[in-house]
Amino acid sequence: MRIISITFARRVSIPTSVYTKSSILCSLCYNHKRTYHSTPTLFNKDNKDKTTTTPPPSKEEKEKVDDTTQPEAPKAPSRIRRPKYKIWLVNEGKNFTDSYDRPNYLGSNIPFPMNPFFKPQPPLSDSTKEEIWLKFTQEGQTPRKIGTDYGVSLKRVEAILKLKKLEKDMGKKGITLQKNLSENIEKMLGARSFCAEPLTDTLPKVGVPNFETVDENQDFSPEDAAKILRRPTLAKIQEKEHQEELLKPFSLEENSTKDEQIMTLVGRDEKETNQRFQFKFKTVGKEQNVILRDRDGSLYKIEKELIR
Amino acid sequence: MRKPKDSFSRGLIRMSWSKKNLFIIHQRGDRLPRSQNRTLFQQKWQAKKDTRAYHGAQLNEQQFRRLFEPKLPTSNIKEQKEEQHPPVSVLTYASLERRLDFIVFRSCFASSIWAARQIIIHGKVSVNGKKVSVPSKLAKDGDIISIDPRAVPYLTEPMTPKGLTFKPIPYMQPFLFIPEYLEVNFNTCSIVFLRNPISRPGRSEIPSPFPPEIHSLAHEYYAERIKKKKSKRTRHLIPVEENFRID
Repeated sequence: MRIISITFARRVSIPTSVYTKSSILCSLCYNHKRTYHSTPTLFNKDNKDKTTTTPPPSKEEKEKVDDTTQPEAPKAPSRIRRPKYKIWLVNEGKNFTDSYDRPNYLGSNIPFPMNPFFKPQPPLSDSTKEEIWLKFTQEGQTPRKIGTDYGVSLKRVEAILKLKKLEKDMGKKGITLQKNLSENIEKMLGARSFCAEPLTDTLPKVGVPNFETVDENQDFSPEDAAKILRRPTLAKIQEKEHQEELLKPFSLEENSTKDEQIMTLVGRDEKETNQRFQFKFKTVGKEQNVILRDRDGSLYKIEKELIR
Repeated sequence: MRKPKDSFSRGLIRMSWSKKNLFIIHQRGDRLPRSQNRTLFQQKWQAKKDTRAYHGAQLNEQQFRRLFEPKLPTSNIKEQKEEQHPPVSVLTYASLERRLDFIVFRSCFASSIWAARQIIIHGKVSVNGKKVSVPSKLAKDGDIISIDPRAVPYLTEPMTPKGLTFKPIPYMQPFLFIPEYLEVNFNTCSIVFLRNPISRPGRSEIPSPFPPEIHSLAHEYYAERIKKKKSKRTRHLIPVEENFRID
């Protein structure tokens, strides 16, 4: 454990450090790095040097380096750039490099000290999402019931189920799932087994206030208000939603609004190959025929199968 | 020559996980930019400068103006028992959060907004199964955005049966949070964009280093200069039923 002593004089004295020539070169390489998402080894190598040797080279080290390249030249004592930053990195900044098993924000539970209004809500853990998946597929519970049990909004339940389906499909295809990632990052995010969300969350669009003069004796009901605002009444909206949930319940099968297309191979012409284009021929009128000439020369006949 | 993005002398907070950025946030602490002996214009300008350095730093002013919505949603909360929502200006930059590069960054799959842009341009991101290499693409409610795991910065090569090796980047922890309008599945590196960000009793959904007062000033700055109706391009992103949904 390195202890850094600072004398608050004009010049700041720093203990010796091992900032060798190779690490200087590494940092130069890092400055020229062009892609953010590749060459992680370069990044790691750079960090390995930086985390252990944060203070800049001391006078003697710098002179030694200079000796190898140039003849001796009188050097003024080197000024340390950004001392506060470097000291903070080693002292308080260490907290953000050591422990990776729970959320670790700058404030106690807020990541931005200037903005206390942003309090990040922990996400759901993967085990809970598996439970939700099983409840939907095996027990056949509706998203509404799942949402009320776990405190999750309806949209989120649907999203969880869609993503889980994608995960299962990828597993079946043989693609490795990133379990390392999910296990470790959930620790850092502080994932929980419940959420505290309302089922539906939209802000009603309230525009300019609408003033309506009404006689003192007259009653003003929500239906009159709906009429003036030119919106359906609350009762109608709720009924409509209820009906929709019963008629079109959430399901994981992909209900595409487009009708199914059946392509049947009709012929193949080797001479008609084309690297760039697919040609589609459509007859206009009552009897619609659609023919497709693919890039490799094969000719297809397309027929639509109406779902409804 | 232009100063670097994480310049200490400018002291601007960016959408980045770099340790310089972290130090700048720490240094600024909970001190608001000074408003004493500052004219209203100066305050608005400072607010705009600070917030735009975080929200949409990779956008030109012209690009930002196309996305900015001068009309903020208003909410009527009748019940007094519920805690008050923060001022509605927290949603000033809500329209930016639909952009693909913002979604990739907000779900912690990129180390900065520019890195997120690069991941998309290099073709590592697909929306609903199709590759999209345009960072300005706006997501619809319910879109599934998938990222190639090899493009994630803290996943490195030794491939194990449990996926790529997890190697945390130093100083990334203070930035690990997922906003409530995204649902992320880390097993497949996929995200679903749920809905527009909204405000909640006592908190805001949009991660921002600045409090609502600063956002108010920035909003005023832009609202004076940009006068337009709600654009057509964003209308199709929200399903029609949402317009009348009541719990």
